[in-house]
Amino acid sequence: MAWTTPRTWAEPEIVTETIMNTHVRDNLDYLKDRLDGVAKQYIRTATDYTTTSTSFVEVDGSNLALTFTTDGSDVLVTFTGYGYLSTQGYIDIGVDVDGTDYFLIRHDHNATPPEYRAFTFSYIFTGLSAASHTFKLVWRVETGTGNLIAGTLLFDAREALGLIA
Amino acid sequence: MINISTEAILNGLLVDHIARTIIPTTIGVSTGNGTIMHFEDTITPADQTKANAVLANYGGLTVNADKTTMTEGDADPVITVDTGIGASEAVGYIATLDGTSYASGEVTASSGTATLNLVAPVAGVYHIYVFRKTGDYASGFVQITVSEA
Repeated sequence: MAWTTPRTWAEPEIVTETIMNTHVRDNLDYLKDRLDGVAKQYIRTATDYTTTSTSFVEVDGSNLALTFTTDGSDVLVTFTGYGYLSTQGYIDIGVDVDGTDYFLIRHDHNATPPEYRAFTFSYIFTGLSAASHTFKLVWRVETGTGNLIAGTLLFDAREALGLIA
Repeated sequence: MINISTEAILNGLLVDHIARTIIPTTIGVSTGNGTIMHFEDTITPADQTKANAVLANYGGLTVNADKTTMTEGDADPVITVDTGIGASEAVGYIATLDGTSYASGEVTASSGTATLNLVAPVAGVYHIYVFRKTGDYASGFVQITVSEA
């Protein structure tokens, strides 16, 4: 179903069934379809995550992997979490989009460990085709063990409807 | 990257230490959605077999201590492994204190018994993990809790 530019009404035209179905029913159906199934979210409540990997790896390939079909709109990906590194060094966090890693934030941990830090980013991915896309949270450490605490972690991906002109 | 995993959530620090000790292509270990060992694409089939054995035989080695609770200043606890290893086998170990790395190394068994001493421990919870570097790559641990004097 396609979107039809809303009609400019003028007197003394008669509102017909065809006109109402096109400009009211069909356009509302189009907007409803756009809103359905265009956002996914996961909030971690179970076990903490850890990694000693120095290359980007999935934090959780089952739960922190959000897949949905877009119509070509930009996608807003948001992450908030809380964690620490077991030693001095850094933790890098990013997003794997359809198999490509995007490095987004780095947290340096320079104080005596464990130095608990809040991790957060909000990023808009552009240029995505109208198709199914998968967004996975990925991370790596410089050294030691990175920790993300359960109960504080939220990962969200959704079409950025109307957010960017 | 090649990943070898198990659904069980194991001690990532121990599995990482074992992997880095016996498999040179180790990138790291992740836990939370099971336990996943990460390797370079160049890992050999033999090393992949080792990795699977590490995961399959995790907890399969019996590690004993002559005391599992004590107070600072008491005689040093003695940790032994006397089954499941060779007569003169060199086994690896890593010890943690309150969850962070404390010591690591290798000890050679004598007449089938590997012996470690936890010297003058301070208050805290120690985990002493011992692992085989050959054979079935089994590992095990014992916990020793030290109270303040």
